[in-house]
Amino acid sequence: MTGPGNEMAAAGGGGAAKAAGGAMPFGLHLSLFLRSLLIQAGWNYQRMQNLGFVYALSPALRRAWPEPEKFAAAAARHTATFNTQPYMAGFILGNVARMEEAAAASGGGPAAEARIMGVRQALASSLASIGDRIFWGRLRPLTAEVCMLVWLAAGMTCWIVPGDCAGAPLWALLSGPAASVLFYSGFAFHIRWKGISVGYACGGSSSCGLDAFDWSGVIKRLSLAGLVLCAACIAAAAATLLRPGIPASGAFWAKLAVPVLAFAAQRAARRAGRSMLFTVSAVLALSVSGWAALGILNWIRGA
Amino acid sequence: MDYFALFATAAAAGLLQLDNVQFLQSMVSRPLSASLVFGLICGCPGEAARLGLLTELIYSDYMPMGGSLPPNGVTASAVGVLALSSGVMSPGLAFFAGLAAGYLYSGAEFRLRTIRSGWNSAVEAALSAGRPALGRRLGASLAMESAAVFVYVAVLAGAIAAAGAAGADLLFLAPPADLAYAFMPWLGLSALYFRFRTQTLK
Repeated sequence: MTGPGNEMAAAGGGGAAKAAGGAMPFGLHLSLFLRSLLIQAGWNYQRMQNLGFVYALSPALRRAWPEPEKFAAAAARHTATFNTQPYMAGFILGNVARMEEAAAASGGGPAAEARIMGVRQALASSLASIGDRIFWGRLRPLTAEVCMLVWLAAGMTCWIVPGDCAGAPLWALLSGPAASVLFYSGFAFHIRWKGISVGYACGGSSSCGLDAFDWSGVIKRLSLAGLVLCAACIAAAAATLLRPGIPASGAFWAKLAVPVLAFAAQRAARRAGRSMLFTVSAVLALSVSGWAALGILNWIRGA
Repeated sequence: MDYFALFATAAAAGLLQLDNVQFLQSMVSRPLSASLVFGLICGCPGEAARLGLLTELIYSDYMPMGGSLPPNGVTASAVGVLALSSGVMSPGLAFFAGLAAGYLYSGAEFRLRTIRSGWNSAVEAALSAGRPALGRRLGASLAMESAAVFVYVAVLAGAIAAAGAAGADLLFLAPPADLAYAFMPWLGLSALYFRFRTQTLK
């Protein structure tokens, strides 16, 4: 691999051996990984994730710059504004760790420092866009679908039929959220861990991590999986609701009216560009006003 | 309301809030799992699980991209489950009370983030003095976040409990709230369907 970081390392002197190549030492990798779990801890409007980023990067900076003054100068540089998708931060941490080692090996200087900050910023924006689409836009809603399907498989239907939850066994209650957490966290922690080693391996490149996986393919597959699982959830929920003899039973058409009206309301709200808050508020307001109107009608009839 | 359950739920919410934004982000703090934890504490795990899933579905429409502040799922679940277990509110009313609490918490989160902006110059000064102490700063940040959620949940749930103790009866609002609540699974599922359909066809 001949990234600019490696070129910097090759040009360096005595410390170059440390930066010349190879995998990140396990201890450093583990330390960066554990500290990266706190990357959002100091989130602030002025410089966003900068405090968490410096904290996470500190072990790598100490390794690259053992002298306290140089470490302090390097850490101060990284207190500049930084923001990315938290699960994708590993790619940038690994990359910057490698570039700092290379810069230290070549004696540092304004050009190397400017390059590190430029690559850091470029990667933060690109990886944030990818990460937001994968984790917030697809994986998180997918986990809710996983929970619903696991619950239905465990015979827990009370999220569709109110009052059905009272006798649900604890294992059935736990199964849905446990499956969701394992599904989501397994993927997220894998990316967090792998990102550090991938970033370190291609350190110095401003496309580092962007070509590590087929992100576009991952996004498409997650969207498709989300749609398929959602269709399965809707079909299973409808079958449960329309089953004869369920506690909240009523006329077939009356039971069907709730999902049909909800879908119609959602579609209308989305076409009008309204948020979920608007739709939920509208449903609540219509229920309250309908109930009040019925009450007034009954009162007039009684009078 | 059981005051031990109130205290324990608020404390659990304070801890889970750390997972929500600041540490791990492992999904344990999402409403569908957090509600179950609160339900186990309050003795109503089944109804709490339903409330949590529906809160999750409604809040799934909001994404914490960039510096945006989505509604807070931990406080929504905690207040909802505590309101439910108080007996003052029906399941539907408790759900909507929780949703409102989650939306309103964004204001507190905004203030906490603003306070932390003032830390940057102090950190820079400490770095140049050779005493970074970043771990301590982040520890203080976690403690602040946790304490804020603890106080917020305890105050809101305490107010509901006090209203109940004072004889306030909100159950007259139960029929329309529970009717609207019956729509929530389908509103949530339809939101997921339209989102994934748009993403797939795009």
